[in-house]
Amino acid sequence: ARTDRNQPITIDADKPGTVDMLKQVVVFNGNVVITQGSITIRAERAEIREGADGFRSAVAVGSGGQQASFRQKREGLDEYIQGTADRIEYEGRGDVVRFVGKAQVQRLRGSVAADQISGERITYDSTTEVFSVAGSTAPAPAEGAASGPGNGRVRVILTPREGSAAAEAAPAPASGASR
Amino acid sequence: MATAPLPPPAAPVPMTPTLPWHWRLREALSSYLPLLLMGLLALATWWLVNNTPGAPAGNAQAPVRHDPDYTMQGFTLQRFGSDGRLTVQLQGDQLRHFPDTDTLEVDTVRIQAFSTDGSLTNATARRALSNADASEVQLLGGARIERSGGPSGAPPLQFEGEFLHAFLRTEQLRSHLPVVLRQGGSEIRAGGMEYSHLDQQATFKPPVRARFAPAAGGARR
Repeated sequence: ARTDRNQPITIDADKPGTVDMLKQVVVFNGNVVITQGSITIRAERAEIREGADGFRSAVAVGSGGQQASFRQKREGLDEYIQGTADRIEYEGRGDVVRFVGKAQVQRLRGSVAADQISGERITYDSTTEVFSVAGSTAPAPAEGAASGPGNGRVRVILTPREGSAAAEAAPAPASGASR
Repeated sequence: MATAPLPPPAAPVPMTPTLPWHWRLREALSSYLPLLLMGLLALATWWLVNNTPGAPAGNAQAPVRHDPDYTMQGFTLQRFGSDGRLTVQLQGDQLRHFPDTDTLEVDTVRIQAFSTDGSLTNATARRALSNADASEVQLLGGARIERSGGPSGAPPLQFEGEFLHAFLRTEQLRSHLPVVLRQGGSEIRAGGMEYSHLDQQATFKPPVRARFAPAAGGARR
């Protein structure tokens, strides 16, 4: 939601953390939970940096098998944006969230996953609510490789919005149906 | 008439008839009685020498009692640098100096330290323990340390906790009890802390809970 940027950020952590007052960087470790308004970021390790303009940016990094996760409620709708990636960068100022490394972002209507995007890097600007996704520049794997999210190609699944004509026409939301 | 000399007398044959043994015993006893008595007397004096209580061995090293040798009430203690500038001012309700550990104990203490870089440190606590040259001060009970006016112009830095251990020479602060660090709009609560002012670094022991106020930049929209 747009009001998130004016909310205080609270952070909880279970392991020792450090504060560097010269560079204004605070590091948290041990299943870190960052909340700001409707935004919740969970990760194993997080760095909060305060920019000169007073806005804060957070870099959350998962560890081992567990990726960092992000969740935000959309402005004025009962919809949530939920994403996971190896590394999540959140800019407090422009409300830009970058998911880097096997990223996967879903738009949930209530609890039903509407759209789903997966790729190497996803950037989501919550003020303009624009997603941009980039595949990995790694050379395309052998032809036979499965076309799952991990192979560096971009994959987007869009489902028709309820109540729209397209929804009635196609009772079962076929994957890849245009909205 | 020259008679042959008499043969030398044979060993004197005890003429007296052998006495019965208990007579001989009594005989020996009565003859050795003085010797026995003298021996008994000697033993008695030897026992006397051993058991006489010795004189107290000088002033024995009595354990030094932990009692203050001087106290001050409602005092102000000021220390000036070599250039005449006030460096530390210590105020408190009661001060006790303990000679055995050479430490100072102060109740409801207020410390002001003016450091060379122009920053001022205020410290208050219900009780303070410090060594003789106040290079190491332990603040106990509602301890609060505030450092303001540093060269970097950063907002004042505040520490609060039940126990704060300040090492003034190395400008370090340590606490093994929960502590709160506040600066500007941000606040960090932790289970323990180590702060070094020289390199402006603090490490926190879990559980860590931080709260950053909304950006000072304010909302554009």
